[in-house]
Amino acid sequence: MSFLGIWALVYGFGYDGLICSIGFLVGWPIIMFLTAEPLRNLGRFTFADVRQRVSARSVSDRSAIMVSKLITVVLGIVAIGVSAAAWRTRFVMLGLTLPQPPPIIPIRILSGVVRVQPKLSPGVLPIETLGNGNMIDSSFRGPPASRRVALRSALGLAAVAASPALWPRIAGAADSYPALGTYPAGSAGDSVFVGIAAPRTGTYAVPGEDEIKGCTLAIEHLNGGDPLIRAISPNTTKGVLGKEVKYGLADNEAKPNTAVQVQSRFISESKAVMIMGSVSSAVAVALNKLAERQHVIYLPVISGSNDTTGKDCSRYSFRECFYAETAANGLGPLLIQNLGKNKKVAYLTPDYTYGHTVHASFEQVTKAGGWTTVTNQVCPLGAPDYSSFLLNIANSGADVFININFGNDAVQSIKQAQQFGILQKQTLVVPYDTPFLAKEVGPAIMKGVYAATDFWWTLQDRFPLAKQFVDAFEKKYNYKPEWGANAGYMQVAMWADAVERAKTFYPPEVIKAYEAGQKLQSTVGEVYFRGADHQLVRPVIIVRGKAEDAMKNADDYYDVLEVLPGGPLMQAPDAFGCKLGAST
Amino acid sequence: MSGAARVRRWLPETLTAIGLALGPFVLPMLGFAPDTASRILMWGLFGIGFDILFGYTGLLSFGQSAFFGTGGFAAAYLLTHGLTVSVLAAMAAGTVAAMVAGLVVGVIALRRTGIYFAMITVAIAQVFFFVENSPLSAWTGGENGIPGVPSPLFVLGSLRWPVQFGWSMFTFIGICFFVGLVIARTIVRSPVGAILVAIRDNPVRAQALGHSVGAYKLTAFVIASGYAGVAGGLLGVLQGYMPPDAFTFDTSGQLVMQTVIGGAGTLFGPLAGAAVWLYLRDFLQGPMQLGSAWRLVLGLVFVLLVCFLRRGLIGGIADLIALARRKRHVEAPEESAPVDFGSPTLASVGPAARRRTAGSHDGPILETRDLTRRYGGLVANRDIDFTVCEGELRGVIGPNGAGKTTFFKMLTCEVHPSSGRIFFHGQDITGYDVSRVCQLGLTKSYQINQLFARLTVRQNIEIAVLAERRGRFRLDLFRALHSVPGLAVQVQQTLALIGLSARADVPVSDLAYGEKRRLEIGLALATSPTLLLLDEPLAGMSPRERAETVHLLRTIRHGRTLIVVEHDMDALFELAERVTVLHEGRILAEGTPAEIQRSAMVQEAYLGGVAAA
Amino acid sequence: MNWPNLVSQFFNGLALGALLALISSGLTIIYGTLGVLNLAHGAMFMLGGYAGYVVWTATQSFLLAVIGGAAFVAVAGVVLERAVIRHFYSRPPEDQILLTFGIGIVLVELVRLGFGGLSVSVPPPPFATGITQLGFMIYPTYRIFVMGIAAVALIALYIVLYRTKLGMIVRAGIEDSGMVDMLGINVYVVFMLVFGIGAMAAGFAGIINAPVTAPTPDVGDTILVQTFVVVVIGGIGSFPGAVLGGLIAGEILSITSAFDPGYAQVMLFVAMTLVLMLRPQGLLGVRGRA
Repeated sequence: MSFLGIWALVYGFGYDGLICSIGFLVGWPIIMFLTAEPLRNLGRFTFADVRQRVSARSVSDRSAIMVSKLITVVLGIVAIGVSAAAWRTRFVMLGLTLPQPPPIIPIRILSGVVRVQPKLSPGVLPIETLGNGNMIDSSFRGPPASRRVALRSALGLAAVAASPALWPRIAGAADSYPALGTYPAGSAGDSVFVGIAAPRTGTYAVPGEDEIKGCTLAIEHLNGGDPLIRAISPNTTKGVLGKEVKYGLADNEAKPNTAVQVQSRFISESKAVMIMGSVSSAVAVALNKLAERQHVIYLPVISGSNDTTGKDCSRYSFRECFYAETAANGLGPLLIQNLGKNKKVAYLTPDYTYGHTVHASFEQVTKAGGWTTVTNQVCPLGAPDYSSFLLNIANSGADVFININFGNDAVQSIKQAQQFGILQKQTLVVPYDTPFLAKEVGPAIMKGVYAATDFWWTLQDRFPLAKQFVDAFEKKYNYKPEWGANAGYMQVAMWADAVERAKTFYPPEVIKAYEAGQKLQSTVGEVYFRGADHQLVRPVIIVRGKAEDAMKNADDYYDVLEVLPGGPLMQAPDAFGCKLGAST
Repeated sequence: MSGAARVRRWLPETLTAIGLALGPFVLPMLGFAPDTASRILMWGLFGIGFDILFGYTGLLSFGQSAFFGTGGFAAAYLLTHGLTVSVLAAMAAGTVAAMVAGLVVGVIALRRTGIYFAMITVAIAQVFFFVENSPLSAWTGGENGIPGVPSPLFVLGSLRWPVQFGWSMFTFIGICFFVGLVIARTIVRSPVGAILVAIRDNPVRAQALGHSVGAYKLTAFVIASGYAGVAGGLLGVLQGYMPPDAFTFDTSGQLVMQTVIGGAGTLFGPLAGAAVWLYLRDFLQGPMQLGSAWRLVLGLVFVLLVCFLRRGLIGGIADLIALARRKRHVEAPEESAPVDFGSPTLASVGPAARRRTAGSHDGPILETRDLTRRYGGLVANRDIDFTVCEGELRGVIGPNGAGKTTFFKMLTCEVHPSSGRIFFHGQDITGYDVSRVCQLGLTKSYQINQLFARLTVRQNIEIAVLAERRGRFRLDLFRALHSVPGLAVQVQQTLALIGLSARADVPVSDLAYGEKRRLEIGLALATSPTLLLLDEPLAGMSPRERAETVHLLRTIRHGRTLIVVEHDMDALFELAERVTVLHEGRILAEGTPAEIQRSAMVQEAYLGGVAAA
Repeated sequence: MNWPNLVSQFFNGLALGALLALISSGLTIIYGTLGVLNLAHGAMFMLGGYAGYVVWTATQSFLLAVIGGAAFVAVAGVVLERAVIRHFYSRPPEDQILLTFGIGIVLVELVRLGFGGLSVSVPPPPFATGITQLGFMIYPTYRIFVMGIAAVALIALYIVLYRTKLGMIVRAGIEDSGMVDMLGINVYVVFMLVFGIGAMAAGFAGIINAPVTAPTPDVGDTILVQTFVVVVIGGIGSFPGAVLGGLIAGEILSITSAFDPGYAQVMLFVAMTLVLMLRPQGLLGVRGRA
């Protein structure tokens, strides 16, 4: 078992693992020598005896038992930790999971100076951070702080690591603003850290992964000075203000609490200058507040609720994507025009800020066409079974079925609606398109379905930057980017632009640069941030599902019907109660 | 209390205070971020309450999230809606809300014990989650939670201490933790704390000794809810955000696991568990690159600890210290030494400081009329009329299955009769709770030892004396156990009476059988009963132990009324003044030992019994 | 609210209830016989789904997936009982609860490690795809199939419990395990079998439910809590109680949904609380146990 583990370590970490295993082999006999002697003297027991003799009377025997118990458990914990790491490696090698690789794995033995290419085939990473925890993918160009933690903890060189010389040097910042949030500690070195957290498990995992790919591609482009990024952020050369951008990835499980925890750690441990990522608006809203409190810029990526830049808006947060109100104002009139007036509507609404605001906006907009709501089924996030809700909808006598669910919830509820015969009787409308929806439910269901979305890859025919983006993304990840990837990419690029224009990482200056309303080129044409609520003014894309025989290739699920300019679709900045806080 | 003892008493608090004060300076060097360290304290505080509930009282609840969330949301709502600007006031209000919720839930959940209790708490916690998420979402934000919870700002004159994210937050939570710990340790060392531990060990006996077990359990439950409420409030303040996840089952599960890993029944266990949990979480995910597998590792650690080190990490260490300490003291003798019962004068003073029930009653001390008990179609006792006079030593005999045990249980109100009435000192006690009956001065020693096995002999007796001194229920949470008036004297006297003074600080589990039997009788004696029922006090004893116990019975009968059920006819006929014979659930005969020995009816009953068996 | 909808929801409640009854009966016979409350029961349900998924990917046969999944979980149950749980029979119930709780977590995390956190999907068998017109409503064919197969499984369990020697011993064990021991029956073998059968009931439910709700590692959590409610309502340790409780729980969930789905879960727990207040031993439970 241990030798298998060592082998796996070597395989997974290369030189790193070898050192580790040698350390283990050298250390083990020492520990054994150290513990065996006193144990032998303490009593007359081997470990095997311990359990049989718990009832022994003699005091010294008892303490011997207790010591052995403690040692067993402590050793057990260590052994489990090590072999679990090995296990993970073996699982990957058996091909049971195939997570994507980071290009470089640093050696974490001494100071993280040496880096080696992992001896692995492409597509295989020994250790991946899938799962539900609050993990930090610090192996990938982690910041100095977490690398030190890694080193310390892995080797137990606490004394060495605790020496103050290794702590970040805060003095000597380039510019002279007062300390605020992670400024200037976060930008004191020659790199800055960005915390990215998106759902990688649970119902929003699929759009979450897509989003992460968009963000990381943008950071890669940023560090390499790619022309696409420079088209969006004209002042960029390489990195941001000449500093390399490093990042940590974490799973926020689409839960606000987890998101707040992991981003807090990115801020406090890695001194993140910017945090980003969301698929759930509940997460976005929670992080809006966190950002304001911590004075760190936060960029939501997918967030459809009016509240994100409405009543829960934040001075420190900037949203790129479309949202409930613009979706409703864009899609609503088109629906009335195409499906007719005075329709009866059934809504299936996920029970949180996103669902409620989309429902409210659509109800409001379609009132003009005499549409009435016959039922609004409010369902919990991540419900496995929609039968009760769908039966209510099936029996409601509605003409139109507006399914507001997102992520896997949208996929499952639409599939189940099909099984309950709802889609034969009622026209399905997807007011806020979920990435990969058409692919997962298939063109047979999506044929003729109206949806509002943020980006669709065939926009490459209209916008040159879209083409550049789709090509670069597809080259790297072998599929067409969905809108979450686009939004993530754009957010990173526009942040770089704002920082370059502010010429500092000092957050209030960056915010000022954002709020200046600078017109930027994007993958969907010219866009700009509205200073009053930090919402990007950008088009809404209206699409309609294609029939299978009309599809030109495997990814050609939608006809782009309209690219509606965003400005006219938006409410007045204060209509949803947005009051931006102070920036300091 | 001597100076040294006083130092020892406050040592853990002092060490904790020093540790917390050093935290902001030492912890960063160990690689703890302030956020993680603050969270550990928050969980530790949450766990203190749970430890009182689970570690001390033995109630395993999977529903603590309900109170955690209630406290947190109440505090967060007050703060974010401008109803109060004081974080402390909001947290206090949240705590009160949590305790009220705990009271209501406790009344329902504590109707059952063991696994039922665990299942009910799970379900009730789910109710809280759904209620928070749906009907109350206008107040709680539903799935969104409540963002924007402010941090506290303390102003004293011109001094301002704004608590901000980072080490000042750690300090603030540290102060809360310290206060919580001091309160908890005070409670644990109070009479209530002693009784809670007794309830964990043997709720049935605690009740029989005259403690209102239900009320004390409810107390523990409400205390735990209060701690959960404080911790919930802190969570909102710590994160600036009150998440709906606080209400989920995961929260309860994590609390239980942390407490067990750290060690239940130690108060510090949950803190250690939280530290291990959060540190391993970060360590396994960061340096070890385990991703989500960290939960697997923690799960395995948990299972291992449950299997092999049930008292957890802190419990293990505490056991070691206790062992080291005891090593220095006298080695316990392996066998029960012959007993010297001390001078009879001391013994007769004993705990017999008896209480007279209100209104002097001149009739028999105990009387039953037409006492009948049916189990389904089976009749265990039928129409028993039974009278015992004050000062009498009555023997009750009967063949196996004669209904002696049921009869005894009815007398002490452990079992309620199907019909008929019981009078004690002329007072109708039919249908009373067993603890009330004991408070009136009627108790019993059990045929099978019902001791508090994890406590020492002295602590056992203390539990019994406390019932007599404090009544069925009293909330003296902040009084030290040893300051209960008369406790020490009465414990000493009882110990002397049963001849266990020399063994007072030995755990019950280390006693010899005969000693346990004497302690069993001692427990009943310590409640100062006027009427003592002894159920086969000589059962299973060696001849020497038997002689000692007979001697004990002779001693204690002075000034007390005794009813003894016994199989050992010789001993009984020697002791008892009158003997009642039960047969097939009825009274067959009653008279002096000599009369009974002569009775043909009795002989036939016994022979018949033998023949049938 | 309208009548056709109420009827539809009632029918849906039966489907839901049959499944809950099947899972709960596993929990209840384990508790009744062994006296162990198995908090890993939800994990067994989950394990069934995944084991079935593995067999299905290997063979593409739904039938084999059901058989393989159920068998795997039964074996897993037996192994678990032999390896760990039997050492806990003499420990206090709290320890047993903690142990099975921990085992449940370990199982869930093992599956997460092996299969990731995303749901896996098993398609319904070809003969049960599509839509069935029931006259008063449209209902997915596979869900009707689930209802049927759960009912068949319950009947099979009934036959095992009430018509075989093993069942007789199990039922006697529920009444008085000490007595069974004295009769010279090796209770430990019986315990092992019962744990296997109980786990299998959950696993079987897990695999037949997989096409309806794609399994995730956490799928057992909600199920476990609902099973608790079912056994508390029905009376823990009672097989008929589990069946009755399951159907009641299913109907409560569905009928409440006809009015407002948001209150469905709350009503379930309200019902449980009522039962506890009025008849603490459960509807078909016997007073004195637990």
